[in-house]
Amino acid sequence: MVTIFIRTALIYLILVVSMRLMGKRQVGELQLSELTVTILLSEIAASPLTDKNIPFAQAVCSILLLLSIEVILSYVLLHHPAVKTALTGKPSMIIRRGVLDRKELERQRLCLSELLCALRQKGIADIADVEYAIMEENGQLSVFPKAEASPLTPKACGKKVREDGISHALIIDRVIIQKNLDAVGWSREKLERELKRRGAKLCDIFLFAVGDSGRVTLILKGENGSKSGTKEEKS
Amino acid sequence: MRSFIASLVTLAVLCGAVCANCIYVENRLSELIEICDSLPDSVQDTAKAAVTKLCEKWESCRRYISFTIDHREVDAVDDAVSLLSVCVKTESSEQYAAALDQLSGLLNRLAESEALSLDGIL
Repeated sequence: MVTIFIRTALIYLILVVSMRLMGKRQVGELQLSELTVTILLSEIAASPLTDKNIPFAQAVCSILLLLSIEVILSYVLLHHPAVKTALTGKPSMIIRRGVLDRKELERQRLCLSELLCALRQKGIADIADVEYAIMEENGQLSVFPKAEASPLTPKACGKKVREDGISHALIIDRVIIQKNLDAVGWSREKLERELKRRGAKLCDIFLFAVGDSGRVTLILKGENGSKSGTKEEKS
Repeated sequence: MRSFIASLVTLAVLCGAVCANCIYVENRLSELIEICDSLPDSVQDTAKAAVTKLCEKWESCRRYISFTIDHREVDAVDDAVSLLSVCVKTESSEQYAAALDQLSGLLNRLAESEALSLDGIL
């Protein structure tokens, strides 16, 4: 048992270091240590399922050990940036002020076609439109297009627009969501009044949502349970 | 912070449990090896009493040992103990010596693999 315990901890460390050396492109969306834990957990959890000779306690012990290490490590990384940099690396600037850094591209073991592919996936057809491209610690590429290639925003036009906020679902499939009702500061009486004003009954409602700006979305249920109509209006 | 403390506590409990388990298994196995080593090479009256003691000792710790040790290894020891017991009952001297050797080898191997050593880890 103690051998398994030490082996699990050692393999975790070896995997983290190996993946760190492999570079960011191997990591994907997860943080490096998270990916390591995911790989190990799936293997450890499966072993007592497929082999009944492996004691259940061995797997449970290894899983708890990995989870503890992961939480402790994430806490250490949060409070010690130097350790975080050593373990997860730093973001790498692939394109800086519109200029491609070939050395950095090589350092990240990315070829140009892979970079172009990543840019296309971000909706950018021409590399000349990119002002900054940064490979993040988790292996994701962040792309900032040049101002001339950026979508026009109200800010760019000098226009002021009202914040719409988010929409809070007050009724989902005939069930009133009290938590959201509290969030928008509505009482049940007010909700009933609003429904009555719109000629809707609770038993007919598929979705009733109110946005931060007061915009109301009402979707009614059809007889067969399918969506039968949508009304959007200001309250 | 709460999850961090919970993780530290979990890790401490795990380390404690693993160490306690390691000491328990090591002690039980060394007791069994000691009894095994004290057994005479041939079937005699003293052997019968010692084998009975060995069987009882193994039965008392078998359940706890199989919580953490690969069941194949536990089953192998189980079979060797049963064989030794049968040999003593039937007074089969030839098989007795072989069964004793087998059991001794299995127990020593198990003790080696469960002991905290670099060889075991590697």
